[in-house]
This record gives sequence, structure tokens and C-alpha cells, in this order.
Amino acid sequence: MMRLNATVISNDNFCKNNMLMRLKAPDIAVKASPGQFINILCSPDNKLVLRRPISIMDADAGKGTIDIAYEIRGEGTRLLSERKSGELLDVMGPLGNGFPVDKSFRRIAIVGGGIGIYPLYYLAKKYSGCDIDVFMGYQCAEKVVLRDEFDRESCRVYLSTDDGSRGHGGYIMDLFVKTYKKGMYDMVFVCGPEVMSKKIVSLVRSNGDKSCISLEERMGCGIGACLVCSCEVKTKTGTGRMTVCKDGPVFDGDIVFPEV
Amino acid sequence: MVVNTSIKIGGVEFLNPVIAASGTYGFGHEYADYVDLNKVGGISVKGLTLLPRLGNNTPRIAETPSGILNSVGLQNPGVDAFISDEIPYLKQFKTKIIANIAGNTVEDYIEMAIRLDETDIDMLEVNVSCPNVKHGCVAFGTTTAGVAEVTKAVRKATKKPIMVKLTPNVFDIASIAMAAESEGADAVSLINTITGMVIDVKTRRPVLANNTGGLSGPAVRPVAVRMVHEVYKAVKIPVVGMGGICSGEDAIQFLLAGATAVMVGTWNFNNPFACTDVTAGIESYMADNGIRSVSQLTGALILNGD
Repeated sequence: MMRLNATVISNDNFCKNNMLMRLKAPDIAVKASPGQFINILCSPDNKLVLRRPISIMDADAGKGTIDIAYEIRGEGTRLLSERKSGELLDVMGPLGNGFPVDKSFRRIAIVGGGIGIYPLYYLAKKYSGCDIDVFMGYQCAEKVVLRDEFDRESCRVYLSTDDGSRGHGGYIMDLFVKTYKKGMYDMVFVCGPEVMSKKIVSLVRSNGDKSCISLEERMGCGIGACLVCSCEVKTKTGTGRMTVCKDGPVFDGDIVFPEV
Repeated sequence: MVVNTSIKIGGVEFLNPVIAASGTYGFGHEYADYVDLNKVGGISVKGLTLLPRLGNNTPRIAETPSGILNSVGLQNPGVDAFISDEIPYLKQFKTKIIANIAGNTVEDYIEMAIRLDETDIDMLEVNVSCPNVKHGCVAFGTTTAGVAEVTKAVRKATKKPIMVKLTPNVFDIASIAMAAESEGADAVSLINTITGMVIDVKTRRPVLANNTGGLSGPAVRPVAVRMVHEVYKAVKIPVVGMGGICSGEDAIQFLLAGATAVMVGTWNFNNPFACTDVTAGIESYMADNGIRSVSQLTGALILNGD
């Protein structure tokens, strides 16, 4: 964990309303694990108080670069989208706990919805050689990215769009539910909208299988101090709270969503 | 030029006048990867309650123009866990440990003060100003009688110096500060957050799950500086000023207005080195202006017309 100036190498359109940024940040590239994030000061004149947490999509320790992809949603990401190559970006990272990388797993599923797919790409690369089923769900054909990249890392790729403009029509969670059978996977990795995550985690959990989920929450400090990004978890004695930024963003599927 | 940044509040000597504000710095260890805690004047820890609290639902934060609105709702592990798990860690550093306590009832404040009296904390910050909980706390802080009652009770329960943290959500903050002083407070700290609301016009709902929250950051700074000055004129005890401090110059404004020390809160989220950067900024201002001791700045404001 550190705070440093990363150099913007490129910042280009990724798909409709989404950007792909490559940063030169050797110290982060070496340490990053899939599922971790960086916390970015988006505005060049520091006019926004809060940093914006963005997941690491890929890291290349040899070249000293990291890739992030983000959707332009509000003021922060809009300012970030205007940053040009050669500019310096004040970032903290890598932050949080990422996904476990366990080489003893034989078959895994990776399930992503929308921008939740981005951090799963680095995860798929880390599991290279494993039997991987990837489930990727997008809103529409114009937002489909990383299809070929996931193809290279995985055995089977299931693709859906909400409007049916590419791949299966409908939600990716429904495609997963149809495909999944108890005991099929050593681990199911999930990142996406809460409704999707809840459905998949509760199905996998009720079958006694293991899952790992990356959660999203509005953050303040990004390092576990302010307790703004709190989430409810199961504990030995009932329920408790953990921080998404420091205890997560990746959690054991057995403890999240205590209500389902 | 060698400058002396040390200050004294309630008999406690701080290495420098910059204290991390409660609720923004956790229990210190969260920032230890970034900052040498020996160089942070003091740390006011996350607001403590007698029993552990889970806090409010999320979202708990919204960004606003030059500020943030938060409603954490005093999530904390409880005073006993603080004593056993956090004090030993903080004790390794030169930073002064300030325990921020918030109660539903006067008895809560008394009980916490008693339990903390035999520990290694340096000072108590009596929080009568958290706007994000339903019972107690700010309900005491908005009347002179409430502040007097809590201050008197805590004063009796502990030998530690006590600092009362004031809410800006009152008509006359100076009279509230005087009530704390008259019942034995060693200092007052201000301002806590200003109650606010942000509405998502698409959903027509407030962004925060708790509907309202507390505004902090640079947006509140002019209000805070004005209130520090009003309180400074009304009391003899030290005033600790806070509200949107991001730089040494921001801190100097508070010192000139009458603060003996300052707290840095929201800006820690923007810049994890904010506390030490503010201290460095104060030192360079002192060197540039030939000021040897930081205490010379307290109240050195020159009002127009004087």
C-alpha cells in the first residue's frame, strides 16, 4: 500500500461510456492481486474531496503497468476520462483484499455482470491452466468487451446481453443458474450488480459449494479508517459489520448477505 | 529558524498542534502505513460508546461541493475493546491519545469516563455533537443545560483532562462553550459537522440511508473559523478548532481566530499525509513570518476596524 504519482500511458474509449486507462505504476503492478483496487484523485486541480476507488483490471509486473477500466458515471469519473497520456495521477494502492489464487482448484467459474467483469480479467489470467467457465453479462452488444481476452484464458465462455443483441438474451445470473450443478466448481468467483451477486452466492451457498464475491460500496478513506463503506456479514454470534475497502472488497460468499 | 510547535492543553503537552479528528483516522493504525504516528500531535479516536455499535445502513457518504456528507452512526467496537485492543498499540507512539466518547445517557458518559480513567489515554473528548444517532449525544450538545450536565458528570468521574466537542447546529455556540467551561472542561473542540441532506432527484430519495448526515470539509471552513473566534472570545480555556483544514494556511486561520490547536478530519481521505503536511505548512508559515512559538499565533487576529 502506498501513495504515489502514476503516469498515464493511455486513456481511451473502451466501450460505450466506458474508458480503459493504462498507468505506469511499477510498485503497484508488482504487488497487485486480482480484486484489489486503487484510489484515485481524479481532478488535476484536486477540486473533489474524495478519491475514486477503481478495480485493477490487469497488471504487468515486467512492464510496470496496470490497467483500469471504468464507467463514466459522475463528476469524478468524467474528470478522470479527461486525463491525458503523460499526466501524473495521484493514486493509493493496491488496496483491499483480493480474490484468493489457489492452484489446487481444478475447475472454477467466473461470473461477472457489467463493469463487474473488469476486475475478473486479471483473476482469469492468474488461473491460467485451470478449467475455467466464464459467465459474462452485459447490457447490450455495444458494451461487450474482453470477449477474446477471456476466450484465451478460459475453457468455456457464456455471454449474455440484457437486450439479446449479442449472445444469450437475458441476465447472466439466469444462464449461470441453468448451467450450475452442485459440486461442479471448486470456487465460484462473482463480481457485479448486487441482485446478481445475491442470487448466485445464495444458490452456491445453499448447495454447500464455495464462492468468493467482490462487493461495491461508496467509500471515504479507502483504508478502513472512516467506516463509511460498511457491509453486513455473518459472524459466529449473529451478524456484524466489516469494511468493504479494507476487509474486502472480496469476501467469502459464506459470510456475505446474511439476510438471504 | 528553529520553531517551537509544541502546545499544552489541560496539562498535556502535544509535540505539535495538529490532531487527527475523531471518525476520520480510525484508531491510528489504519494510517500507520502512510504516516509516522510519532509526528502526529494527537489522535482523537473513532467515537466510542459503552457497548459496540453497528452504525447506520449504507450509503453512509455523499460527496458535496467542497465537502462530504456522512452518516456512519457511531459504528465502533465499544469502549472495552478500545481499551484492550487499541490503547497498547497507540501507546508505542509519541502521539497523544484522545478517547472520544459518545453516550445515549449521562450514565453512559460516566461509565465510559470511569473505565478510561485508569488507562493510558491522555485526554477525553466528550462528544455531545454527533448528529447521526437517534438518542443522546447531540441532544445534550444543543442546550447549555445539557452540556453542563454531561460535563459536570464526566468531570466528577475522571482525573483525565476533558475536552468537550461542540456542535455548530446551535444558535449561540459561545454560550454552549461557556457552559462546558463553567462545569470544569479543560478545553472545547469545534466544530462537529453541520447537519445536511443531499437528494437524488431521479429517485426523489435522500442519498444517505439515514436521510440526513453531517457536512464537513472545506465547505464548512468559514463557518468553523467564525465559531472558533466567537468561542475564543467567550472562554478562557483552550479552543481546538476544526472544519475543512487542508493546509498549513487553513490551520493558521484557526490559530489566528483563537485556536490553541487544530484538528484535521475530512482531508485525511483526500491526502493520507494531511496531518503531517498541515504541520509542515504551519512550520513554514512560522519560519517565513519570524514566529518562534506557535502559541504566539493563538488569537493574534487583527480585526478590521481595530
